[in-house]
Amino acid sequence: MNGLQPADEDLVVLVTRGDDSAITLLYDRHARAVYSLTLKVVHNKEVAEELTQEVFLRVWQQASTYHRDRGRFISWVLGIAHHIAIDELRRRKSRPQQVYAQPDDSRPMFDVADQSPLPDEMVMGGLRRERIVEVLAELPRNQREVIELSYFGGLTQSEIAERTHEPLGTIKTRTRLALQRLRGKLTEEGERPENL
Amino acid sequence: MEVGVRHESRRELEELAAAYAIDAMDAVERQAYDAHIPTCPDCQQAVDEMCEAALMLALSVEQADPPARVKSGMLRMVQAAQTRSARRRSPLQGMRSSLRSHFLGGRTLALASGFAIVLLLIAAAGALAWQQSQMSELRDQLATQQSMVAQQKTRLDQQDATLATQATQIERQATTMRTLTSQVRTKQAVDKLVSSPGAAVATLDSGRVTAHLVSAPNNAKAYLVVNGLPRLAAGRDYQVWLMRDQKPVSVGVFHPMGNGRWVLNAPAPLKAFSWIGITDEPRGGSPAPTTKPLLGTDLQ
Repeated sequence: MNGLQPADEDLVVLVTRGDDSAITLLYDRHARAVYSLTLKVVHNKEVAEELTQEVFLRVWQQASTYHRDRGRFISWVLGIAHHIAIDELRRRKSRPQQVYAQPDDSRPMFDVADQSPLPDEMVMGGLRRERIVEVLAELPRNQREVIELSYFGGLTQSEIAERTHEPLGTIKTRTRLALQRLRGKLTEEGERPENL
Repeated sequence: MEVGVRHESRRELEELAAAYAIDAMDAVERQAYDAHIPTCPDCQQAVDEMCEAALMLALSVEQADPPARVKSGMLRMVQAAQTRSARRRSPLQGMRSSLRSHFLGGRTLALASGFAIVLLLIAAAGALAWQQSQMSELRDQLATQQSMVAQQKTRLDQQDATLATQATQIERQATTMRTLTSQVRTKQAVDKLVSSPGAAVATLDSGRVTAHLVSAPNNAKAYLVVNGLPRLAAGRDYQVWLMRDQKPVSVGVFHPMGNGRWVLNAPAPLKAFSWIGITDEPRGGSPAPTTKPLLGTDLQ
């Protein structure tokens, strides 16, 4: 972050004071990541557009609940985006008709074909999506499967256990190990989000 | 610790945090854990760490830009939220302001009757504020519904416009196909005509208008190519005639622009007719020629 640009965390403070230029700046910086994540989960452009608007409306309404000592803004906003997208996915799945297109099973969830930079290179300190995808690809297959089914597929751990015919405890362990391994690997390489 | 959230070991604590960070809990589990986190510093720290890893998952997806309309829609929603928030604050602020001015103005009443009046006023103001708040909530809900309806309508309008464009394109393609099909049929008819026994080309020339007639005595079809036809007046058409036993037989009504190429379908082989000609007739044609032929020639 250079000295001319306010940090996301400072912009959030301005948002709590009703400064709509601050929410505009935050949108400009992170809408791409938010839209991309919601699109990945719901597989429907129109719904992803609505969810992106909903995410930034929540940022506006709930800015006072963000605490910078608990993590970066991008982590918070993408957490909101993911939660909203998963809720929407589960809500739609509970209906009789399949509203969204099914994900293409032939294509891996973690796809290295797109080498585009992360949403905000300045914020992310040059961390490349390519490297993250590589690290994900290095996870053991059964851990990666659990992450894919839950994080991108919207299944709860109980549903994954039922689908994979594995004990619930095994699913919980795989989830924990996958996230710890992912965080550890990136930490080793000095790519922890708070250091970027 | 709250009912429903237990962690006997560090491992269990981390498993809960991991499930929470990637939204792999069901709604009930999540609600319980949401309530638990603020009371448990260990869980809070574990959640923060797992959320860092979840951020990596979020950033691993293929990146795409949202359309510009998403930003403008978001800003409209923010402005609507601002307006609603200001509207909700105003009744309460007004009540606080009036009470503050009353008590600070040195008008505090010592008498019980006066105090009771103040209490009644507060109660009435509170009831009014509550009603206004309810009204405001209803207005908010209505505004949200209207906004959603407007968005849906915009989307439907866009879809309608796209469908209309596609329909126009399909219609154009169909017209092109019809034209091409007609040209192919004409060419096939002419080819067949030219290869008929005794096929010949007759030239009709009136000085200004010239025509070539391709025909064969035993073929009921003939191909007529006309150049230099005068522009027709409004409500007029050209009509082509064949003469048989001194009686005119219409073989087509046309409305060409200067030149014309027609395959004529006679009711009998051409050898049965003695003359061919073109006249200028009222729109739709006439039972028999009503004007002097622009062009004509004997066929035998």
